[in-house]
Amino acid sequence: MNQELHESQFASRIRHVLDQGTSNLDQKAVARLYQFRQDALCRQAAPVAVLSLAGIGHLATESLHSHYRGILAFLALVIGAMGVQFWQNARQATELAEIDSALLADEVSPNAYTDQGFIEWLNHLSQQEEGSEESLPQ
Amino acid sequence: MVHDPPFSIRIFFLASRPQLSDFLASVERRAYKQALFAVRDEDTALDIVQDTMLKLSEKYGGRPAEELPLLFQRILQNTIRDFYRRQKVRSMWTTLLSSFSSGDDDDSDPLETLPTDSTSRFGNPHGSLEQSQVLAIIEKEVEKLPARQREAFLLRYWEDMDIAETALAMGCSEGSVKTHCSRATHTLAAVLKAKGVEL
Repeated sequence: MNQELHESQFASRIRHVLDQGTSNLDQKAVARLYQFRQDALCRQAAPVAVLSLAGIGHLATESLHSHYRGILAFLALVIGAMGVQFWQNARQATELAEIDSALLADEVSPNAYTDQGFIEWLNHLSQQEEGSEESLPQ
Repeated sequence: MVHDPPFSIRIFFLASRPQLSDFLASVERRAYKQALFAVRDEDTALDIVQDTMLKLSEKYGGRPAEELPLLFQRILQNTIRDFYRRQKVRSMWTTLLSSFSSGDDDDSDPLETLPTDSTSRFGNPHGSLEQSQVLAIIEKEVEKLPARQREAFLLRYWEDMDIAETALAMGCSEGSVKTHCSRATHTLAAVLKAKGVEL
């Protein structure tokens, strides 16, 4: 530490002397440096808009304590479970929609299935078919 | 270590033309001297500063003003190294000289080292020296430093960069910067003491 301080103090004195050297440059060099500066300014690149949200990535990686990380993991689990539930409901709705579509596309109107006479006729028809199957020779 | 507060919005103030002009005016003389220490030729040193200014302005002129010092120094050091490389290709002598370098750098430039001549060329070492003579001696000794040591010393102490910034500008580790700076400081102190120069 002490050595660094000595180095720094010595370097500071060297710096002071070197600064004197820059103020004594010959006028030819000074004029050329001025011309270089003007040339460089003529070619300055157009500014590009820069806006950054500092600390977002930092927040996600370093600044969160383990306590908050646990809560974050629990919230992620809950959101995941809700997502699975939503997906299953959507699948059931799709299946029901497919059944409804099949019924609507059938020759028999869906209203017929609510008619008691039609239901009895269907039962009677199915019993007849069963009876005829039993009477057939083996 | 200082961290950015979460969700803070940082607004960069982009370098305007007057800002760039002021910045270049503030560094151009030191940049010229740095290049002159490295290449030892006034015209070549001026060419290096010109290239550096043009590259900064054309490629990074639209960057935030706070980034300009580091960018400028990085371009300047790279331009000086490019000069060394071109010189190496042209000159077999330089290649042979560089092969005898001390090799004290973990990422050493092959053309960086010149032997330090401790012989005084400034008369009686015990006599009092005029300010201009002191300046001449110090500039000469800075010029004689191995390139990486000189680069680290000037960036750290003349350009007032911290160790991390110096490491970025030089493209090396912070440990290397500390080592280069320490060696440069001790070399200069020893040589100036031998010449009777007191600061």
